[in-house]
Amino acid sequence: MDRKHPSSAKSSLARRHYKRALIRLGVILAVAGYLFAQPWLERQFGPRLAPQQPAGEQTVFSGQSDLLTEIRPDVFQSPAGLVYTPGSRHGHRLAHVMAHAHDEPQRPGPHGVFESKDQTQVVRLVDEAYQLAQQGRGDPAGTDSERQVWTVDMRRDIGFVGGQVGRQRGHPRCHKLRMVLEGTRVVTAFPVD
Amino acid sequence: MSQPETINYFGFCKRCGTGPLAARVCGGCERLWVICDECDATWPDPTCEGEPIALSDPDLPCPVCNASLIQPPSRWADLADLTRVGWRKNVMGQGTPFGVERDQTDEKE
Repeated sequence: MDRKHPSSAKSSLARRHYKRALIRLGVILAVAGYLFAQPWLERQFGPRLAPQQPAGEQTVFSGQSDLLTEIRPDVFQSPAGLVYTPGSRHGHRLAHVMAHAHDEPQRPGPHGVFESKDQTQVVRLVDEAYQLAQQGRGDPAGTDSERQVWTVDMRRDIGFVGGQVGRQRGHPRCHKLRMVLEGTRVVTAFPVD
Repeated sequence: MSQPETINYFGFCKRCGTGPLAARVCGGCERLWVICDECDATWPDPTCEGEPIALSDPDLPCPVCNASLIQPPSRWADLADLTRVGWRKNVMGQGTPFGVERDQTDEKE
């Protein structure tokens, strides 16, 4: 008959407990290590390694672009130095600007619509307008102590007038870009005719 | 299907020159604020005289109670809200707020 000695059974139970405790500790250390190293790993390997937003809360823009640098979490800087931050009913100023890549025919007034729906091209266009404004080729009408409102003639077709007014006017083409800034922070930017 | 969101607008923003000006009901204190649907410039009443109030991103806090004017329960004012505060006579027209039509398109897609 195969009977284990009570002290041997006890020691086997203790070994099993010890093993489990070691595995748990290992898992905890691995998770803690991953969370600690995540920012560095993301910088090294580019893509986000874990979802940064709760499921169902997806933004309509992408911060992952060769053009934009994430200077703080969710804060993106363009090559010309313009900064896009969280804000607006779109959740992020970049998403707000990119919402001008589509017409909204029931929106009251004129709704400027970019010709390009590509985020990189839109960010480049806004950068170009900003640089032209810096060089003096822009109208600062509407600027106050808090905000600078620039209208820059881009001297080419950059989009059309949508919204209720655009529909009534037959969607005239736009050659100008208007941008509202707070310093270098972009509040909004859209085409105007 | 939920009821599409509507704004009752009073005019257009003199700052950005394009955004419809409509009232939002603060979810904290229920006070109404006139906000530009494009650049978020804010005024205390529909005359929109003087400098706008600069509310900070990302939440646009109510100047009275600090509740977010963007996040629910804050919402666009309906005609009953505007009647309550005597602003209904200032309404110029109706339409959809910025982003709503795009959201509906995304839902369909």
